[in-house]
Amino acid sequence: MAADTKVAVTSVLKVEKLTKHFGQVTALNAIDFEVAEGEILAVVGESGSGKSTLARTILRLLDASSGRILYRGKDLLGLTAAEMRATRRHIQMIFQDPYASLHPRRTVFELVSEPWRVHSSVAPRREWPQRVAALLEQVGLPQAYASLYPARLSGGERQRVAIARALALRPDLLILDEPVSALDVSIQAQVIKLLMTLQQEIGFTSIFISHDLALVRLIADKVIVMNRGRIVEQGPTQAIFANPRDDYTRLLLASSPELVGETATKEQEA
Amino acid sequence: MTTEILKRPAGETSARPLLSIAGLRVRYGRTHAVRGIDLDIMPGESVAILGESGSGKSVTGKAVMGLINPPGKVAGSVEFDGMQLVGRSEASLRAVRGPGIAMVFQDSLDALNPVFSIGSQIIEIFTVRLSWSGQQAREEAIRLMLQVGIVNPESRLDDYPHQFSGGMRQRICIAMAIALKPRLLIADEPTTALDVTVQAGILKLISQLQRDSGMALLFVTHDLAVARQVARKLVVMYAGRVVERGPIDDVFHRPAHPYTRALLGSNPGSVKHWSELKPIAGNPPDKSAVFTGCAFAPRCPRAVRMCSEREPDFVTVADGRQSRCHFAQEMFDGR
Repeated sequence: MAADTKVAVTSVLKVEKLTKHFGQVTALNAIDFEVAEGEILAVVGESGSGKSTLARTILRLLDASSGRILYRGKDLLGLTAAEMRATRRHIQMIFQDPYASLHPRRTVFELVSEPWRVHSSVAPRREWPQRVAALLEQVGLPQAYASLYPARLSGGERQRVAIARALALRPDLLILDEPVSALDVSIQAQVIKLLMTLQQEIGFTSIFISHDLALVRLIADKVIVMNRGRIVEQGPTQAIFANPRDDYTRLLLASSPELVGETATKEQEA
Repeated sequence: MTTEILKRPAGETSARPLLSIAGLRVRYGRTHAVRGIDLDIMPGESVAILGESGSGKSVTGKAVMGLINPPGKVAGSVEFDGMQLVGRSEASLRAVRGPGIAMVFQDSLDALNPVFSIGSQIIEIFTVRLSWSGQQAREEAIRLMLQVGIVNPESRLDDYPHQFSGGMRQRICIAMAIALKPRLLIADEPTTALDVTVQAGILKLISQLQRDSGMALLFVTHDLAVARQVARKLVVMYAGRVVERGPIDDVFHRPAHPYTRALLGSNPGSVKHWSELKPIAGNPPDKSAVFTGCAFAPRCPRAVRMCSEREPDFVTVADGRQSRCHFAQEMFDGR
């Protein structure tokens, strides 16, 4: 497992000049960034900014056009398919839509234990019931849910199942692509608190993709702002929010309603 | 010429509500989407309905427009300008839609016909509804597009919906909604599918149109921060019921219902660190559930036995402020 590599590698992931073309369109344009051990890096941007393409390219769900993706010093783009499959055990992803990401004909038990079918060395079959039970408890779901199908669960509960499944392989790096944007505000807060508590307990490194600046401000150590396939600004969260340097970052911050003090009423009375 | 479209009755500023909803219920078989709500909107007033998915907020907007189709059943009263809309024929409702009440939806791509140009869809409103000549309708269409912020409208009349961005499409939907100068605009999550930078522009446009034209606005949203940008009055819905209402900033600063307070506490914009987030435990109730007491009681940190036994009435905690909670006054006083 990755943690065995006790050499002085500080960055879990280092992306260099990563570029991705879709025909004429440059979806990712020479992306450079690093994520350090235990850090939460937020990637913010609007639709079409390339933030989801970035996540998919890192996991090699999409082929990069050029550049390097160094995971603990090893270039993922140079790995064979088999090597990549083995490496994916350490890099897990959670998607936005918990209605689409869970197979409707699998029980919660099957969904959570599924990764062990693929990576059979992680958990021997006799330990599955016990391990699934532990994971369900970790994500705050009742044990009885193990036998249920996703249709019986609410959006927040489904996302908890997706989190349990991602944690089943004890990932080193977790990529979260808008994990709460499909959920209601009150449920969002539950899931965010769960993710952050788990992050503190387990200590995984994460890349958190989001369009929600108010949320990013609460959880990220570092922020990357993307626009049209480029990184327009990156830095510590505090600095980006307090002193944005790029015009696009300023526009994003100014447009985010949570952060605007002015309301319709005040404006009307002015 | 446009002033001829719909002359507003003189003295519309009187104290009579433009829209008056009383005891509105909507159910689909055993599913109760709206469980009896009362709501008045005065002429020119901007009201936001805030609620989470399943709260009945969108269904309320649709019921007002007469858009609940079988097997959905509507009961209660929806009076628009003194006219009862519940039970009215589709033909007679059609006359109200447009000059009376108009609606903008979340998904602008679904609202526009993909095989007709934008121009023809706007022009049709005037030629069909007002029997205008093509030339006159075209001029008005251009003026409307300009009004909602479409640059070079003449050159874009022949473009099709897919040739516009999401934000521009929503602007066109707004243009079509206000074409017949409605006295009430219902906007159902009109910016939810849009990027924040685009959202800001649309909210500004709706606010501006509402103020300039004097139409009333019913804005349906799940996002309190968005509601604050466009509305002065807030109605909070939970499980098909209105649980709190009042001037929006007052409710925001001093909620008088545990649900409203909890919603604020779970909003990331209201805290400095994730650990300060106060999520609401559990899930919203099943829509087929039948309550004897307060629907929020099972998730409420304040709930006592009485809460699950008897549903609270509205308590007036201050001028224009009402909350449906046994502890409304205590909540309001910060106790």
